[in-house]
Amino acid sequence: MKNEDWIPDDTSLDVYPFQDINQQILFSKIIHELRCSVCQNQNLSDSMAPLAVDLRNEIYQKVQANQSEQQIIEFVSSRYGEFALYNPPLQWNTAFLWVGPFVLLVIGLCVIAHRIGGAQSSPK
Amino acid sequence: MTPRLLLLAPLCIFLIIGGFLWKGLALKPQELPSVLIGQTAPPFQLSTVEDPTRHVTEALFQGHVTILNIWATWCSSCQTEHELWMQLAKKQDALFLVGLNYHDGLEDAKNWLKNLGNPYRLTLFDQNGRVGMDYGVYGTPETFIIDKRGVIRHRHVGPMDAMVWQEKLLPMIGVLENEK
Repeated sequence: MKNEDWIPDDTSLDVYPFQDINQQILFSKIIHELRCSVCQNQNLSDSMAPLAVDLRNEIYQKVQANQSEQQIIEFVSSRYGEFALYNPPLQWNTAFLWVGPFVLLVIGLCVIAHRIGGAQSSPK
Repeated sequence: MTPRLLLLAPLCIFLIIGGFLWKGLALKPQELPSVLIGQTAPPFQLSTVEDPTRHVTEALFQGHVTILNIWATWCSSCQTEHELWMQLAKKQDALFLVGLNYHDGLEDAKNWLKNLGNPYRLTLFDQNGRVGMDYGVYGTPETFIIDKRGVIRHRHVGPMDAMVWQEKLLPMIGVLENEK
């Protein structure tokens, strides 16, 4: 995704001033990628739940302190679990999630190939 | 594959999808597993609601099984749960029940304990919720069971009910009491 996509269109950034545009982009990216554990269909950026506000503040301070994206994501996932990540890492228990669509695609292609092959070899 | 067997394909697909959906009905996304199970309780330094000059650390958890109950005065289900803690504290003297007042005001917390009764050995005062964050608290009430070595062994999210306490937590605490 292009960096420009993360430039604020929401009000939440008004209260989080940054000197450095890169930090602002990083902050916005992280709070869009993390899920609020309280209101589970919202990310941290959208949610007004007190916990989401706390986490935004915490992440803001960490970005200001020049922590990396990985460090900050690790901070949150070591407390709230992988559930908080909208972008799940590739590991054994998420492998199906990542590989599944391609497996289905291959199965579909095989079925199509089989049918086309079958139609050609046995004309009506 | 024979055409006859192929007729069973939609049924198979239905059963697979149905199976997933059926399982989905039983999932409770509100009950997230704690990532801290099996880990040493995160360090903290907090004062208590009873005594703002006192400083308590995670060393509190050493040497006995602790039930750490996280509550707040703005949380209505905490009030529901409170009655149960009062009964349990009366019934079981040995219970090491510690409160953690989360994201709250000191006076509010004091009044709550004065009016509703105080079942806790002591109540940690986590005014800005920062310690709660280290414990992965995302809703109150939550209850942690911490073993004698200060390792988190279980977390219960939501109000404690008598049945869960009796059938699940009490036996678990019994087992932990017997650990070295």
